[in-house]
Amino acid sequence: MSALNRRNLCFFSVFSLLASTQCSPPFEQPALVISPRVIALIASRPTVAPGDSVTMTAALGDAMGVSTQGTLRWSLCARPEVSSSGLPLSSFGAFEPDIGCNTRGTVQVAQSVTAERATFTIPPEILQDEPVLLAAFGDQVSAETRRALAQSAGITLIASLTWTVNSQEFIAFKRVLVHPTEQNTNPPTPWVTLGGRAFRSIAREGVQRCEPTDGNGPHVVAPMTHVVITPDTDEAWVEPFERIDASGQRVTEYEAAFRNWFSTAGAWDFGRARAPDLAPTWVAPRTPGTSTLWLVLRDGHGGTSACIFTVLVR
Amino acid sequence: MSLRTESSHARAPNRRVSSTLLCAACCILPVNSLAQARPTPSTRAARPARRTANGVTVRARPENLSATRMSFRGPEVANVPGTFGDAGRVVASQPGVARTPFAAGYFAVRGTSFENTGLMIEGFPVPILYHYAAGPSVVPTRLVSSLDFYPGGYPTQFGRYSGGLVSLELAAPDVDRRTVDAEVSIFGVGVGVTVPFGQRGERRGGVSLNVRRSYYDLLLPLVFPSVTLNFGDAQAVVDFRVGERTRAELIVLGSTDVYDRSDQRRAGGASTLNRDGLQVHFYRVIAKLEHKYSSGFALTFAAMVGADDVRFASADTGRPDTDVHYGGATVGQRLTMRFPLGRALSVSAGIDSLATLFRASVSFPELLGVSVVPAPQANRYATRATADVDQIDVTPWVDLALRSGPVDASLGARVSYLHSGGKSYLLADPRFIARIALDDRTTLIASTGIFHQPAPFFALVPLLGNGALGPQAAWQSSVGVEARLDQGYDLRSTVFVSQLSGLPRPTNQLVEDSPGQVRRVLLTDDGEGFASGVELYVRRRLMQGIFGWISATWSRAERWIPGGAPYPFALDQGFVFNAAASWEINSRWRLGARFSLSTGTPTNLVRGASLDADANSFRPDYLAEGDRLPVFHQLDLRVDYRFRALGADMNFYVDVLNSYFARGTEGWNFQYDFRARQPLQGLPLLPVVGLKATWR
Repeated sequence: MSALNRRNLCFFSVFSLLASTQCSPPFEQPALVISPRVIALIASRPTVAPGDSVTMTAALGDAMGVSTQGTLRWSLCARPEVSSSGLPLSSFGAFEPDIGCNTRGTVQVAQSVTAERATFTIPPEILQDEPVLLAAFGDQVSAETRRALAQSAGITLIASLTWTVNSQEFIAFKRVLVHPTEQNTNPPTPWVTLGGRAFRSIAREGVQRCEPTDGNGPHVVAPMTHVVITPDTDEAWVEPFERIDASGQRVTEYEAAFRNWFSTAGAWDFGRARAPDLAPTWVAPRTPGTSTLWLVLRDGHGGTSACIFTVLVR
Repeated sequence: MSLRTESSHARAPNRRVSSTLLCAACCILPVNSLAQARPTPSTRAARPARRTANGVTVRARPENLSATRMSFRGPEVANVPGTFGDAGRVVASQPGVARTPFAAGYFAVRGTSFENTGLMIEGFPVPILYHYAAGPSVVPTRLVSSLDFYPGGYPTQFGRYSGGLVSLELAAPDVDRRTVDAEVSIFGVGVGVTVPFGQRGERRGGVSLNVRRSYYDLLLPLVFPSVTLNFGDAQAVVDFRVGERTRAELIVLGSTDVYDRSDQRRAGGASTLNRDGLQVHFYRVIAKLEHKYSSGFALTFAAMVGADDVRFASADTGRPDTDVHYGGATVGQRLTMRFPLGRALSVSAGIDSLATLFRASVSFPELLGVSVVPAPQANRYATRATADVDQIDVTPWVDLALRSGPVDASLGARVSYLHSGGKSYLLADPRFIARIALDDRTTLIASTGIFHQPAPFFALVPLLGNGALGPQAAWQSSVGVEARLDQGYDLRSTVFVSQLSGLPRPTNQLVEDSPGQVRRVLLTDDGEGFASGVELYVRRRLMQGIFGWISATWSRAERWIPGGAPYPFALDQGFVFNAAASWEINSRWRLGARFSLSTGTPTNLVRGASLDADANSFRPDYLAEGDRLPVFHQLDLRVDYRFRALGADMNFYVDVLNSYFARGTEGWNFQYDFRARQPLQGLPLLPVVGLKATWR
């Protein structure tokens, strides 16, 4: 069908569909890392007790792969959950900026740290700290109930990262649950089968890298090769936990695995996955070179782990 | 269909074209203005009088004074370009009405939101007045007796909306002869039959049956195989003259709209089904009885039973499906009485009751609970709830009309008992309107009044909204002048001010219902607002085959949270301009054009975005000062050609929307990280071809 005919047909179609099929340049794919980008934030423990320490690290990338450039400034704060819904009734009040620890109503919990990684010590009395509880639960809840909620549900602190690179600032944040008794761990670093080869996670220079288990060097593919990536489907690591839902009821849930894929080149048929769609296809780029791939595994309960792959295209 | 007053019983077929044109030109002016600048007792409350059996005219139910009423009657009004032959869409080009994105059939009037403008058929609310996808109104134009638009200060007999009102009344069947109407266009096909009762010369009434169905279903799959879109409606009107002074009417109508899009695309992050859909079905049965006593006392009683069924669904990867389904029964009654108390005084009173007894079943990604870390993409937990949400409103009202010399004034009040969301409210809506004739050409009009509106039903659904939302209120005031100018021109200018309170607004906060028991709510009702503006309306009456109008509105609408700074309302358009004209070249050809221009609605400027690493999504960082969408402009053209064929009066038309293909921007689409944006573009050039036929 010629472009002219197609356009004529479009004219006779529904406006909303036409409005959604624009001829503008396509947006960048979220799974492609072609400029500096925070891929993931990882807390050493997603849930901590008052008085414990938590270490924050970041997976950073750019078009060249893993990025080690720029400066990283970390903050830890308490704040209300920001409204981000835009309802058709009237949108005013709906678009409160959400910029980590720079958000309105934030209470700093620890001194900011400028370093590649940051370790924060949670104040031992934080669950009785009225300004922190007020920031976390709001003023529509009585002080007595705020203290009770802190003991039963804990409070979520925000670990916020400002990454300055090439005069640009990138902000990312992650929640750390402070709970007097709950235990929670990050999911195990993922391992996958990539193009038929098994990859396992190995820590090198503080970075988790996924490398072939056969020891035969980096994985090599031809340009435009369709590579099927099959992750480990064993999710025995998921943990049960209790939460208070939006209606105030206490419910027991299980964690679940959420996988996100990124690469510096090539193309993905989809960049995020939950069971049963766990095996995406990565199409190698047309031009030879080294491609970096990331897999980020989240448990939906604050736990995160990540792994980096290197693939040679030639 | 044409305008018939009490003094114009007889139809004049040989002058039909010119008379209907004249009627059209008359009827697009404010009924409470211009031509009725000094209403007389007989014309002041004039409604589209209906000719029924034996040529006897029974005046429709009396109506009280309103600050401004734009009344549309006659099929010729439907020939305004850009309306797709639908009279109702003329409302969109009236002063005080913000331009609606994508020509949707909802109206944001004088700084209020879409849901603040009531859509009524025969005095009872309906969920939609227009079908989807720029479709026609849910009642064919040929069935419409009158369509009244009140941008504010509407009469005391109406209520429940804090903005404007669109009131549509159906025509009584023609008792002169049997008629068959048919219309076919690229949107759909419709057919109607009218059959009178009784012997010729002793007609006691008539029946009109109509049905219409779109055939988007046949065309869309050629381009968008995964899309389902259709609409349909049907109406039956039975008009029966019981006696010389009594008339009964039964109206049955139904409307259905279905939109569903399913997409299996996998690129760009979606690995499973993407889907969104919206269905609106509603049905109404309305019985009316009108009686007029010799003393002048008039009584109208109308009862309505209806059913609504609305469903919204969406699905996306990695998150639970959203499915909101609500519906149930709507029951209402309107008792209206009118007592003339001499030449200078009359009293209208009535009881207006409405009950919506709905059940909602909702399933959607759950809100964050207490100290819960969100999962990637969205919370993976689904909230499912079924709830009964009832709203019952019983409102006695009274309106005292005083007419003395150049002054025509109305003092009225509604006192509502409202039961909504499990709470009861007693609401008082006092209203005052005065019209003072400065001379025989110029009238000064002033009005002020309170207009309460219950919380929208869907906002009361527990978990999805907030069952504790109270009613909102508007204090509307306006001052205007109407003048009849020389050479066939009329002018109206109005200054309006509205103070709004109790507005629902989004939030995301924990509330404590009882000690220790908290929940998270999405909506609260502490929003406030203010709107003001100036409207200008210049109309040319039909002369030398040309009629038309120009409307312009300068306005500003703001919203704020108590204690916060005001900022522009999301639908605020500082300047809206419309010009429409129609030229009757000869008895066969007619040309029309409509030009629209409006400044853009507010939009947020994005400074950057931060990554929520738990949800794996970016949160935009909006600049406080904001921005506006580009200026919108559009020219619509229409050509009509009338002829006789196959024993029928035929009207072939071409209505070209957005004739020069202006690339209007209705909003922005953002890249996943908000670093790039693209315009969400409005309607393209859209030619609509249709043929109407009437066999008499």
